[in-house]
Amino acid sequence: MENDRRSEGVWVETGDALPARRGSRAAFVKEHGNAIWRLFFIQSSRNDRTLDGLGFFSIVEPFLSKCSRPGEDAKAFARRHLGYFNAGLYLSSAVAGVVVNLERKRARGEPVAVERIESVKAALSSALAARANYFFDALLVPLGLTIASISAMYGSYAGLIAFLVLYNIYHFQSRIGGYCRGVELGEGVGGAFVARLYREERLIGGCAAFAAGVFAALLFLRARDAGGARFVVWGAVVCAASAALAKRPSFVRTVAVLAAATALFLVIGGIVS
Amino acid sequence: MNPVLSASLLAGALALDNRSSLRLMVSQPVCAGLLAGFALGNPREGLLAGAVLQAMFLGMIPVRGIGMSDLALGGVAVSSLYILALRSASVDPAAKGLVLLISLAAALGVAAAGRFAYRLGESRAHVFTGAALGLAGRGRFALASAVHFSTLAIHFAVGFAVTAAVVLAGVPAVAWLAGAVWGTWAEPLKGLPALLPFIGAGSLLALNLGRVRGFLFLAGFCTVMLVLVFRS
Repeated sequence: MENDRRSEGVWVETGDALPARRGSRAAFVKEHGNAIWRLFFIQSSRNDRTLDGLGFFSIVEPFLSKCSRPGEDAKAFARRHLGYFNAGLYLSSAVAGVVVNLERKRARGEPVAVERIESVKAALSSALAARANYFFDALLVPLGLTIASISAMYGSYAGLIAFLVLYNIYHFQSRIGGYCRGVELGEGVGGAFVARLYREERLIGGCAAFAAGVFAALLFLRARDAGGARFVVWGAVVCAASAALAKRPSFVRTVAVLAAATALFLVIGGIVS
Repeated sequence: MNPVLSASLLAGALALDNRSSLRLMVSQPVCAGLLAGFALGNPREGLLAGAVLQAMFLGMIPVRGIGMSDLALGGVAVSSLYILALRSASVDPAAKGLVLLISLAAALGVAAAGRFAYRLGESRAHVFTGAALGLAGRGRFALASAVHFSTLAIHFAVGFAVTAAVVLAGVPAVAWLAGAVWGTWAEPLKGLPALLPFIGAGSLLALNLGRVRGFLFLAGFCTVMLVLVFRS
């Protein structure tokens, strides 16, 4: 049953290595190494019209000769992949892997239509981007940076190192691992893959909230030590104002206004006392 | 090495991390500040300046089309200005709070300007795609791909140039301002590092307002308080 589902491109969660990867890691790296390092620069030429289209082309470009059918124009392949592409940062690699898989199947003569490749590319782009962006931007990065900030408050680098390690484990897993899975599984990459990749999502979210609470409490303690009740009350005011204004479009303006108000509070307080 | 050159090279490298989607996160202000501190020979003060800027932006996440400020350049700018201005002979070491405030104000300007420059670049960068399409049409695929990678040099150059300009012009300006204002007005500002991170704590609170995560936020807060109550 599982073998049937695998042949349909569905990734079954057994924990086994997939057949294509067994004993062929070196061959895989040799074949795809040129594309893998390019994954890390996909957004370098981002623009308003095609977003990451040029970046996407730079990833599939090494496969151009292998993926063009005999007698078919390689220029048409290039033009197709120079168009609009927007899959966020973290799982665009998986989409690139899927496209490479489908294009190679097509070049081997399997019945994969160009329209099919385009629709899979567009569908996966939006579906995977949202999940990955939420995991990284709203959960993992705030958690790591909160830990780094707590340790930096006490002059330690340990939290910063922990953040870089924690983040980059998921980061490389998503970008290199995502590409590899995309190449291996083709269209089978989807919900199951992302769910497995980010299975600790709830735990990370919970830890981020807990760490934020710890950070806030430590700030109040530092404020009490630095300036007594006056600082604690002002800290609470700034915290409430920042929470209320956090969803405004210009975060820099909010930060600038609150920082200026804090400086004014300190100066006036110093003159009065 | 010349400190301005060190800071500018570092900013160019971090702009690459931030803008090219390499995204190893070494361009976050807390890390950028520490690296700038190492480059300028004072990692402790670099970490402090970078950490304060980081803490102010902790809850900023790029959702609903909210553009991200260029905090990589901001992190290098705040640390470089802070360290180099404090080194200046005209600044009293006790004026640290004021120097930090002015450096932060300059860094916020750099962060906002960096975002503006990036948006401007995005609106013009389609010329690269146009050039690549032209090359692909002539069958020069590797060159079309190279057009994409040429933008890396632009990201590096922008980071390098902005930081060089800010540090060259900013250090004397910060030192002059701190020297001119130092006294009754500036002394209370030493409390800034204790208060500014509350801005980030508020935005983190806004991120965790849901039922479960709100409860966990409160749990974290109360745990610290309880530990301290029992310890005292």
